[in-house]
Amino acid sequence: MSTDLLDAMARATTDALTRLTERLYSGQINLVQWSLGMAGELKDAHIANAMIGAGSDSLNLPQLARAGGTLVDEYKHLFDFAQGIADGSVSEAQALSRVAQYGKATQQDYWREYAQAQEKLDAWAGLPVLQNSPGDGGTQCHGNCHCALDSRDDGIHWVIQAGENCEDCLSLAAGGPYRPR
Amino acid sequence: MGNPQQQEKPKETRRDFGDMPELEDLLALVELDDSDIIEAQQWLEDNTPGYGGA
Repeated sequence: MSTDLLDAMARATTDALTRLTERLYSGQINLVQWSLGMAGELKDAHIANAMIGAGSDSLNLPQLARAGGTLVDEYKHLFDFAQGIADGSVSEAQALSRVAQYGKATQQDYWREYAQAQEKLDAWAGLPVLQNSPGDGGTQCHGNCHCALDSRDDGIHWVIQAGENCEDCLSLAAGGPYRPR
Repeated sequence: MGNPQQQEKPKETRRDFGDMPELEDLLALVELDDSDIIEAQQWLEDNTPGYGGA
């Protein structure tokens, strides 16, 4: 799997969310339209990432449920984001900076489904469960890294890139191999 | 202690972005079905030129 496709998808998401946010601050759309537009774009991108990770052009019910769980968290953050915009605690510059992080976050669905699709139930039964996915924001770097997962015979490995990793990513890389959640 | 009025930071003018969205309206979008799969497939075609399917 080339990361070019993942990066292209993240860029497309960030570009779309940036355009929506610019339209909000220029008065072309209101906060409700912005929120629903953001939510729709995030849904498409998260599901698309999950499909690519699963190696399929569709998703079964458990895969859809996992994507839905991610979206619930994203939409709660989006609601808080909208409140910050409305009360002025988030500036236009801060809003544009923040939407730039959403694209990377969609990749957590790719990595989660990638790991699920690789699972060797019997062989990996004794491994610790991988509780995070790259891009999920559950690490100190908030997913702002280039970490990846790699499926090997002995399990799923968290792979770090040199010089850009937080303590959590380093710990996850050292703690493998894992089985998927 | 100084004069509280002197310590108060100037407030930025709050912009009017219209009504706040309802969290329930956002969460209602998470009831995923086949139409969401089709939309995501279209999203992939639109945003990843050369992507030929999984």
